Parts: sequence; structure tokens; C-alpha cells
Amino acid sequence: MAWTWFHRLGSPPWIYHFAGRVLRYLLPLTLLMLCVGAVWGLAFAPPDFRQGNSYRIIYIHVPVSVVALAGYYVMAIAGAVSLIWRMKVADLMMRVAAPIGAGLTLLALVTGAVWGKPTWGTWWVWDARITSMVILLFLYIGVYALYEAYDNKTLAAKACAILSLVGTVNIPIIYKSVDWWYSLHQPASIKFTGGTTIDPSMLYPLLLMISAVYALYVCLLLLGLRAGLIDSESTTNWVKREVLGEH
Amino acid sequence: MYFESIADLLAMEGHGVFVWSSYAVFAIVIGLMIYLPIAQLARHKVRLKARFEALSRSELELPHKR
Repeated sequence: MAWTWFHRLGSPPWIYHFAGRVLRYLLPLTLLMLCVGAVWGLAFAPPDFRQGNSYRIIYIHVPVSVVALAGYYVMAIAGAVSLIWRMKVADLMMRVAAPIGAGLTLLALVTGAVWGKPTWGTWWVWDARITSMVILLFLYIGVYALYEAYDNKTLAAKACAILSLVGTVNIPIIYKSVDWWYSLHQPASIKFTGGTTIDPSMLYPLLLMISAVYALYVCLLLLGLRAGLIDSESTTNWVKREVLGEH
Repeated sequence: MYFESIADLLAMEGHGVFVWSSYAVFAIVIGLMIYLPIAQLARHKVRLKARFEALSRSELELPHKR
């Protein structure tokens, strides 16, 4: 059957074990990529001709920002799947994605502020991109807090799914903010279409770090799913076999 | 390496404080984000194991209740 993969995605024991197998390889690989990318960006990439060495923050600031945005789609799509098909795993995925997204958004804001001080002369400005990123942080925290606020978890999942779907309107605003409201933030340097305005000696470590943070996101999602599944399925036989080590 | 010495790498021509503190915050936050769900899974396993074992012991002691 062509649809068996979809049904397997709804099967908690299959996901739990699949995530475990993926993490065994992906987590060490991710950490290696992060280390190589950070050392490359910190010590081997050339300095920027205008910003000097402070630009090296780009190797963490851009990857965490990009993945914080992409992570919102993961949360919103999981929310939509949980609304439409009542899939428990999708509901869990939405809940796991919220704190991960909040953490990455917070990192984007903090590293941005630290980069802003030597470059723009200020920690913070209320420009369009930074403000919309703050809204993103509140949306992530909102989804997490909303779920905790309800006693009825079916209702909580529904409310969170709707909030995360409504919040997607913020994502294109963040993407386009640097073009619509020209401010301190520079427009995108890497484009899928047309010329990329960044030298390969700086681009390659940046692409490595972006891939590493994407991989990190997958790892964090799988780690969260495993912890969440064993808790929510604690009365089932597969959890009993897993916990007591009977296979 | 682009820098002449380790001291140059740390100083980054005056930008060292900003660059290194960003990387430190990054390392701490992602370290926590990786550690927390692993610790949570381990805690759940310990708690559930104790519960399952207590359950099977009580079943052994009270066979008539099966």
C-alpha cells in the first residue's frame, strides 16, 4: 500500500524506535558539523572588510534565525494535521516544536543584539525584522503556555493548533521585512534565484552552519518526541517492554 | 588559520568580547536543549520501570486478584 508510510507515522512505537535509530547517527554528525562550522567561521574565514571580526557572529545568528522561522512551519503543519486527522503524534510534535522554536528565536535575538552593538552602535532597535522576530518568540511561548493552561488536553491541542495556524501570517512578514521597511538590517545576501552577494570563503562555512542547525532541529524534534511518547503512552505494552528491556 | 596567534584569535581586534560571548550563549543554549529531553526521557523510564515492577510484584503476591 502506498499509504502505509502515513499510517506508520501515526504509530507511536514505530516513531519511537525510528527516532532512536536516526538519532544514533544524526546527533554525533550534527555535533561534528557544528564544531567544524564554528571553528571554520571563527578562525579560518577571512574578516569582513567593513565590519572586521564582529561579523563572525553571522555563523550562528543567520542559521538559528533561518531555522527558527522554518520551525514555525513545522509547528503549524503539525497543528493542522492534528486538527484535521486527530493524529496524537502530530499534536505531540506541535507541542515539542514550540519550546525548540522559542529557544532558537531567543538565540537569534540575543546574538543579533550582541552583533548590533559593535556594528550599529546599539543593542536594540524596533525595526521591522527585530519586532516581527519578537512576535515570533511570543507566538512560540504562547502556544506552549496555552497548552499548559487547559486541563482538557484535547481542547488544548485544538486551541494551540488554531493559534499556530493564525500565527503563520507573521512568517512572510519576517521574510520580507528587510525589503518592505528598509532599516538597519541588510537585505538577504543568499538567494536561490539570482546572484549571491557573499564570497565563497565566507559562504561555505555559513552553508555548513545552516545545514548543521537544520540537522540540530531534527535531532531536537526527535529527542522531544521520544520523551513525550514514552510519557503519553505509559500504559501501553510497548512502553512496558521498552522500559523493562524485554524485546 | 586567519589569525597570527591564539591571543589574536581571542582578541579579534577588539571584537572578541562580542563574538565569543555570542558563541558561548549559543553553546550553552543548544547544550541545554539537547540535554533536557534526554534527561526527561531517562526520568520517565526510571519512574515507569519502578511502577511496572511494583505492579508485577503485587500481581505475584495477590494471585487471586488476577
